[in-house]
Amino acid sequence: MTAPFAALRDRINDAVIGHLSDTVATRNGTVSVVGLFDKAYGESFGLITGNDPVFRCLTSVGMARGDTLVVGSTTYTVAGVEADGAGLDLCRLEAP
Amino acid sequence: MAHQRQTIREAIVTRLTGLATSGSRVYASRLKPLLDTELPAILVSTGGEALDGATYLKTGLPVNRPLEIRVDLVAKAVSGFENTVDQMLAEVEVALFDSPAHNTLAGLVHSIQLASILDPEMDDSLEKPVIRLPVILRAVYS
Repeated sequence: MTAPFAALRDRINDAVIGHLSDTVATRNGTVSVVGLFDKAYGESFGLITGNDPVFRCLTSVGMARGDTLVVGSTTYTVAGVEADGAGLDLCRLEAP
Repeated sequence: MAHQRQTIREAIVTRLTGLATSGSRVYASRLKPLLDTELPAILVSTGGEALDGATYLKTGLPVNRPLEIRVDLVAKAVSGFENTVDQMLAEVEVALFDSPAHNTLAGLVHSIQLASILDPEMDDSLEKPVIRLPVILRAVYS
């Protein structure tokens, strides 16, 4: 049996992903995953420009390091998965 | 007339331009962040001079001035980035130390010494890992 607050949290997570998602990505070439994609400007050492692509999705999706994720025309590799412990994962992406 | 520091810095840039890995991507006193198209790159900047006996300048006696030159080797790649900067270092060493003419920048300095190679710095906060290998040279001139 799911605890009441956990059930509420899951419903909120579903609502967040359901209403605020901006991206349907393809995981490992076959599975569609809905989530929030962000590619903010970044710098390294204050010297090298780039960006910091991340994808937020439900933990229940089961994203794992090494998965591929196609967003638009770019195939990213999941470099790390940071779970927030409350049902959402932040996946750090590496570009080809 | 340009100060010797400027002349030496520009001569180093000229000497390091055209190497196999970094090509024309050699920048002096670079402050603006580098784009992907500007990598891998070599950054050259001149540092301090540990002058002991600077008063010799007033007496007209010769004084050797050890000018520190910082050469940063930077690269960004999904893999092999440390190998890339090591290869760049090998190319820099050949360019500066393979002959007396190169080691003196055709007589501009007495010698260029490899003072130290600092720890490589790596960062994976961007879409690809980034590495910077700082190399400290010492150019002795009068």
